[in-house]
Amino acid sequence: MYALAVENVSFGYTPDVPTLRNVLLDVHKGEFLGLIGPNGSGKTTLLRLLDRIYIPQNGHIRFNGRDINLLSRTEIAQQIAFVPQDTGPLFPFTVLEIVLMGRAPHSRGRAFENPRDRDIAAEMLSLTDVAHLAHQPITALSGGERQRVFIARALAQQPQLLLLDEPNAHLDIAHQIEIFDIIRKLNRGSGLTVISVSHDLNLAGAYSDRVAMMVCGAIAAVGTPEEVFTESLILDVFRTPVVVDRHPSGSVPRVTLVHSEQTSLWAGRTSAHVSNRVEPTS
Amino acid sequence: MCTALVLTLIAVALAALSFGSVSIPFSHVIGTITGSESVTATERTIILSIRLPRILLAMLVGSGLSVAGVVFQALLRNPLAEPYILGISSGGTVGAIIAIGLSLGASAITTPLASFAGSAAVMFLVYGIAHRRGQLDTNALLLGGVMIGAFFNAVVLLIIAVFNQELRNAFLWLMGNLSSANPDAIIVVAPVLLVASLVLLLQARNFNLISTGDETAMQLGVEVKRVKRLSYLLTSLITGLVVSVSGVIGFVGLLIPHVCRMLFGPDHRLLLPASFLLGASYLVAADILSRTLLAPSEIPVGAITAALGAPVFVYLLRRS
Repeated sequence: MYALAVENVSFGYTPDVPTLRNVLLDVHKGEFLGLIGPNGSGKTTLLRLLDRIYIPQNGHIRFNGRDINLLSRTEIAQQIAFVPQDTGPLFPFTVLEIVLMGRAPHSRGRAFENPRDRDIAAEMLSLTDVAHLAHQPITALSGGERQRVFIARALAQQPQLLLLDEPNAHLDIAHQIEIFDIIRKLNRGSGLTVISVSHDLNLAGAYSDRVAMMVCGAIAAVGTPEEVFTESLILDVFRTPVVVDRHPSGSVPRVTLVHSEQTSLWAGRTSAHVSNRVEPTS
Repeated sequence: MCTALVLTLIAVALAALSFGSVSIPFSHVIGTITGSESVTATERTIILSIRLPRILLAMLVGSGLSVAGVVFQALLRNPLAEPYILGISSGGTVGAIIAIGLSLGASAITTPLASFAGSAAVMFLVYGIAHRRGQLDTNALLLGGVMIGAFFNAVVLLIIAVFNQELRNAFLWLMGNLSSANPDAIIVVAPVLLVASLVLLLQARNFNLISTGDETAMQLGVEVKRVKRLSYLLTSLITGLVVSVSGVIGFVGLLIPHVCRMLFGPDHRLLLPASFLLGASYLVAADILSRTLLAPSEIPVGAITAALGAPVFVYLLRRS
């Protein structure tokens, strides 16, 4: 059974301007799916629909076989967590208070968190390397630190499905790897299904089982990183020339951007380079 | 924490029973409460029939405005939001004055009801002005609120001019005043205000989540629309009730939540009861000043809260 089935979903924030058109996507239980595509292609909107922040105008979204429109807000929050892009100005809640908010869907009807909630929050704080900031106000943190706090809050929800909207946007390279390693571990270890929007194709390629590439509100391609990351498809979708070869470690494709001065050089590369490329599998 | 705030409230209330145009020694105030023989009948009357109802009223007004302020600030994610700045108090005044002007009777029930209707109407109006393309524009919200407040104050002046005789006292409404309140109003206002505050307190955890963003709150399982509808309704009710007994008292809902947030942090489970208690103390203290500074004449208590609160507004505006 698919963890998530997106069936011909269409949506627009205003009636006449469709943001998503007939999106069709199945996500397996325990899968790590990378969602990539140019700005404005509908990635964040799709995530919002998957968490029922908005409701599709057409089509259905099924989670574990059930239409998510039939679930209560609390039921959704108990199973699906969302790590947003950085949010705006906040009241000065402490980092611990923010992470404890992730326990809210599991403690409806209780005014205060119980010891178990506190244990889980503490675990997630150290997992995302923000335990030392627990009593700092969130407003005093850097963008990257805040991002890790929001990831900790999402993990404190103990979800089955984790939606990440550019989780690496504000992270330094060490924390990018660290956070993705943690999420990957949860994904492999406890079967957490992950959908992650990313602009970093290499990071998406390194961690995703499959990638879905979106263009103009539709899914243009879905497949393993090897299948999707081809020079021609990326040129088509992003209108940017790239070189795709193998990551030195050998396991995943590597996408290298080519800026304008390099383009002529790139065009005249020798066949030795070309043989190094990943052949698109059809 | 709560103990300290309760003790403060008791101390301020005792001081308020003692101070006034006629000063009554503390021993006699205590004596009145404990039923001692040494207190004169005049002092007993002043304390029990004149000062005590007024102090209870001041507590209700201070608590109500502070709670409404906290809730508006959480829902709108803006520390500048409060019933006066948003024009909601002025809406309540218009409602109350129309009720009185139309001779619906200045009864303890119709005036608060009309006042609630006025507050709720302005709440919708200001929200409608500031809500564009699904986003709440903070500047439009505050400017819209101030403009609507100014407009409705003008409407009040107009109504007073037309009805002249019957509404001479209505002028006092515009500056906020506790001296003309009908003591019977306490019986209506107190239970409703307490229940409304309690229901809002039960939403404290939801306010924490909503104050970090509507979408975040939804992602964490809050039925944001339902919570907001209920909360706007209850805050309009509280504001309407308060205005019907005290007129427009500004900046209490701004100053008290700000001070409480500095003292106790932004968690609404603490912030709401703390603001409720400190707001009560604050308005009783402000009322002492209003009765004693120029005794035997009175300064409207709204002038005192504005003098103390407006600088805080400017400070918060510069910081945000």
